[in-house]
Amino acid sequence: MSHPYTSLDQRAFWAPAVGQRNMLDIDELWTAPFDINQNKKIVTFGSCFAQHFSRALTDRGFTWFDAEPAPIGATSEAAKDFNYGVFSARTGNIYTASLLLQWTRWALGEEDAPEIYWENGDRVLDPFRPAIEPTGFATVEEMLASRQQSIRAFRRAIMECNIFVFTLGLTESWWDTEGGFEYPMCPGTIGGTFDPEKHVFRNQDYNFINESLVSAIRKIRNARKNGPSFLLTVSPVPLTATNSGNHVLVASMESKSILRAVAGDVSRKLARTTYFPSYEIINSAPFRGTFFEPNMRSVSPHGVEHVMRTFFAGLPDQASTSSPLSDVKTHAQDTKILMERRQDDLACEEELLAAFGETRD
Amino acid sequence: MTKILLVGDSHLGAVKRAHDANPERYPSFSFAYLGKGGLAKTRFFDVDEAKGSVRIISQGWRKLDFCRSDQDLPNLVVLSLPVNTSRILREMSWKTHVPWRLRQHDNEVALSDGFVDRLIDTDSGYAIEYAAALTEIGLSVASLEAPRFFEDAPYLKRCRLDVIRYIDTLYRQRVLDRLSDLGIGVITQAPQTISEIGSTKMEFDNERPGDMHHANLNYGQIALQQIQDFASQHLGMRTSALK
Repeated sequence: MSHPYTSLDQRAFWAPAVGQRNMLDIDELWTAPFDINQNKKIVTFGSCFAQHFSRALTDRGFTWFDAEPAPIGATSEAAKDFNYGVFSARTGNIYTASLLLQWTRWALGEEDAPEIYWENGDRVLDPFRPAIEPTGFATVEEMLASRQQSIRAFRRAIMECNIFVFTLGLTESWWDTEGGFEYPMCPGTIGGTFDPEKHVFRNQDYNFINESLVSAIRKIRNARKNGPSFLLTVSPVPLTATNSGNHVLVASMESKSILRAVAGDVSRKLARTTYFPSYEIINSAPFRGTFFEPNMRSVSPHGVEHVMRTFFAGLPDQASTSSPLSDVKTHAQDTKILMERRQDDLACEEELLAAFGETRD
Repeated sequence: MTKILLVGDSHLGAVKRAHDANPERYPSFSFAYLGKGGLAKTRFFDVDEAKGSVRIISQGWRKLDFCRSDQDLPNLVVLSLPVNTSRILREMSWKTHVPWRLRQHDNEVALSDGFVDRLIDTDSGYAIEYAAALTEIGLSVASLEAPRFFEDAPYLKRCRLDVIRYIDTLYRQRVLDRLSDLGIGVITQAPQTISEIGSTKMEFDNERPGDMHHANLNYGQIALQQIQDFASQHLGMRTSALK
């Protein structure tokens, strides 16, 4: 007798798809439902784990779009210390869907970012990006200018990208009761002073996260014609700490389960929205925690590599490798600077030849 | 006889040519060209504290060693390396990125003061450390400021003059402060060679038309005399004693 299961692929059955395989041979976990290729401008935002996407995309020749890049010539160390090249703008971590919505409202001019600041000795921190500069800013004016730069860059990312990758990280959040806005970190941890009257904890539930995420996606899409496709992921990294009252392990599982469920629902509900299972690859039982570092929290480079290998395996063959126009312009400018450097090198040699009668290159 | 050794990058060229034009006037001077200034951004030297030695290790640079126990150490080392803005002005994209105070256009990315300071420190750090290492083995060291940019510098065609001036001034001040903290004197660019806009006057531009950042023989003569005057003052000797 025929029934729906008779026509299913092997991947739908545990034994052949998982149970009878080495964990590293588990495949077909994901297939891209829309075109993701090297011509598409991809932006990445979200929790810490999102930054692995930017690196992997860049390494494989995809067009990861950095709307707030470090200047050409800056060392990678300096850029990293100042959080350039981590996400597609220097937003810092956007842990929650509601923070994504907050940034989106600022970027689209629906709301102004509150002009609040934290003082740390004689330095000034941005409460919305508290670790963005290694030692903070010299003045409030400078901090606000830097934040506005990142908001403009976030807007540019929204307006120019083809694919928006967002990694959901947390359900637990801290809000300002007076201003009605959300902090990425609890005041008093990295900076600022905790005020129990003003700073309230909110462990976001399924409905709130779902509404925030859908709202953010719609706003980003509607900001222009042919808005981006969305790729949602859930960070597999457990919570560092919980304020929920639960054990941190229980709180982590609850938090990730809610985020996972929201991501699944939103990806089914909205067109051109997909979910990529990085969370499952790292966290599910068949992988036995192999991809965690000994602290069972940080994901090892092997784990990241395995996640990204799975991601690229789910893409159809990339037909073209040509770059978008704006990147061609950037390359042209790079080339110009290199040419000038070579010209000056030549001039150096000539200068030395004249003065010292030899060159040492 | 007093020995003054001029060590450094290609900006020594103008000084060397000035010296060669009149060697009898500056018998105490000798030159050790290290190599192109671009390598100064990397760790180009090594220190052996036990031996009290400092040696150049960069491929492509002259292997110049100083050791505390050397009998013929110079009385003064004049280093043309730390105060040189040409790398940072030429190799950074000051068209697309500007210090936050100077941002005017939508397509300019604002940089924080901290990041600009970091760019300067990264560019100048090893050269300053080299100067410091030489002083630590007992050498008297002074730094010779490289000439400011010329009006025909290629990057001025794409970058705003006020941005270039800002970076140039900030760099020099920051490096001068660090050298001063280390007790290292600086022979600054002669005022008569600096234009109203803060560049090196075009009359001191290199003789070769294609060279847009080295100075010429006349500039070298002025710098040479400045070094002579500095040495006289610093070494506590009359100019004649240096000859």
